[in-house]
Amino acid sequence: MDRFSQLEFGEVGPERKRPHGEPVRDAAYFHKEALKYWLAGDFEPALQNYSRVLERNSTFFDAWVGQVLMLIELGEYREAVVWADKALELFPEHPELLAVKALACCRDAKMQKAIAYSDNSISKENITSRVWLARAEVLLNRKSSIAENCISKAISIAGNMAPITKLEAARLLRKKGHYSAAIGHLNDVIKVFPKSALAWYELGCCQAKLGRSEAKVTLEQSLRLRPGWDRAEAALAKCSKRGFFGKLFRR
Amino acid sequence: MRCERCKFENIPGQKTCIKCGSALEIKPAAINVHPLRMSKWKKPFRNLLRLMRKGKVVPQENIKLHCPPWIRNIFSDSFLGLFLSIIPGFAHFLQNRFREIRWHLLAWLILLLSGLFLYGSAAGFICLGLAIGIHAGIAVQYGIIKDLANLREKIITVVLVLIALTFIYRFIPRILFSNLTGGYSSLSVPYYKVKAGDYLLAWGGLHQETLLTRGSLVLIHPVTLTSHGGRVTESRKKVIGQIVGLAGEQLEIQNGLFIIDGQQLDSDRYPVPRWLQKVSFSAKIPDNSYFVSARYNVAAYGVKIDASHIRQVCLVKAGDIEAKAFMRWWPLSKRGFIR
Repeated sequence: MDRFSQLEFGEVGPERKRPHGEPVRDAAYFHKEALKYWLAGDFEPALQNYSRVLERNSTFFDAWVGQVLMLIELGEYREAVVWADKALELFPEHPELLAVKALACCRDAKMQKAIAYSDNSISKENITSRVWLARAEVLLNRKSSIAENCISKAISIAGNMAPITKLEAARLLRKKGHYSAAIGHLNDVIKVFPKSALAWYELGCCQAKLGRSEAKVTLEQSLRLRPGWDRAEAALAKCSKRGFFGKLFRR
Repeated sequence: MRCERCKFENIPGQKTCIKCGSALEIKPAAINVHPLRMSKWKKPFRNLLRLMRKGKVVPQENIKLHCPPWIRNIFSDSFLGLFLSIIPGFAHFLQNRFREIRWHLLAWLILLLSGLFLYGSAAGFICLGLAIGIHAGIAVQYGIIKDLANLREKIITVVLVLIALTFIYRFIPRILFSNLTGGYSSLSVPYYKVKAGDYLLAWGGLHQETLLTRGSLVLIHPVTLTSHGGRVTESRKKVIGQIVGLAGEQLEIQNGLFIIDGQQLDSDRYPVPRWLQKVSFSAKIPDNSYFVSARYNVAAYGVKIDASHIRQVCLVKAGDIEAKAFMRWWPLSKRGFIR
């Protein structure tokens, strides 16, 4: 059973019979919930759900990584490093944990540490797509041309995780200003996760940056999926307020 | 026992994987699964440091200062929370813990407002005291009280916080509203509906030379004469008195009435305090001074009040007048502006 096999991806895929009554609130349930919140860009409840997963099963590796990632998303980089260290006590030298640690350092502008951790993670066996993505982010910060290869590598080895990897890759590309490439990945993601507010938001932001008219509709869709999301509202407001020169210079 | 990480089949009962060393089974209670969180107030500082690191202003590594433990304690979260709680509930608000103290805050607000409304009366002071107590409670509840181990330390901390807050409550209004002050009236002036002991609000920072007219009630720190074993000593105490004579005028006190330049003043508007009623006095008021009538504490037993004593206490220089009373604040029934 892979980690996304129980996710509900809109109308895509055959319909499964739903069990009657309350769902069993086990680790898998909370893991699914955490992913759902992550896909909605709501990182705080996602983190809480990852904690609940670990309350039920402390050896659930994805939940440990998820917690660290959510801390990174919430901008708590030092705490993310501390938590990655804690997870590394349980899963020594795990490349994915080293990679997320590198990611936390990279976002916290501690580049030397980030490179060191990324180098360490890449030297291990059984490298996952997240390791390559972290590598790509570290390299993109150094404006290295190898970064794009890392992203391609991450997507190619992702397997069933390809949509999630693409979404993360697209977010990274958007952050670094590669909007066209990001849009390509996001279109694929939206086909799989049509209800992901985060994917729609990222797509809307990329489109807005490229001065495309559909950005507004995309951001509205994001808001429809997650009403009252301040980031989407701000992006939409910014997109709506763009004047003549803004449109002219695509800014 | 299959390892989650490397899928190696381990011997049952094994705690860590033989192949990769990963944990195989951990009791949920044995490990804390809730990550540490960043305090909200740290965010701007960290953002600034990050920006500086990006701009290579500060080194990549964190600078590790070797400071004594007591300095580390001061900068711990609890102490900073205590400091931020100068504004009650602010530290809780930053940490999303506002719900914990919402009722305390409401009670504090009600007591504070009641205290201000009743200021000058005993009830007002009690309300303010209770507000300070609740404020201290909110401040220590944030974290410091949990950090302290024994009851003695807790009591000392609470007392210190209470003292600090009392000072803050005493001096912050002086900084925020530096011109607003007040005092108890020392004499009854029927014309202004003021009785001795009423609390009056006064406003400083006025151009007193131009605005102070005869009859104005003013806040002063007069010299108070007291007797200790037959020896007269001087001290100063804040009271509200009334300006009777202006600079350059000839003031006389005869038969319990004020006479200015030969003209008798209305006793209802310019009452003579009891200690001056039985004396005869005449003096020319010097430049830049006022004759301020007040019930000065002249308790020099066995010492006869003479003109020199009256000059010493009643002739007040313009610069020594702190503020002009503008409102009767207490008692509540007489609250209103002095016209």
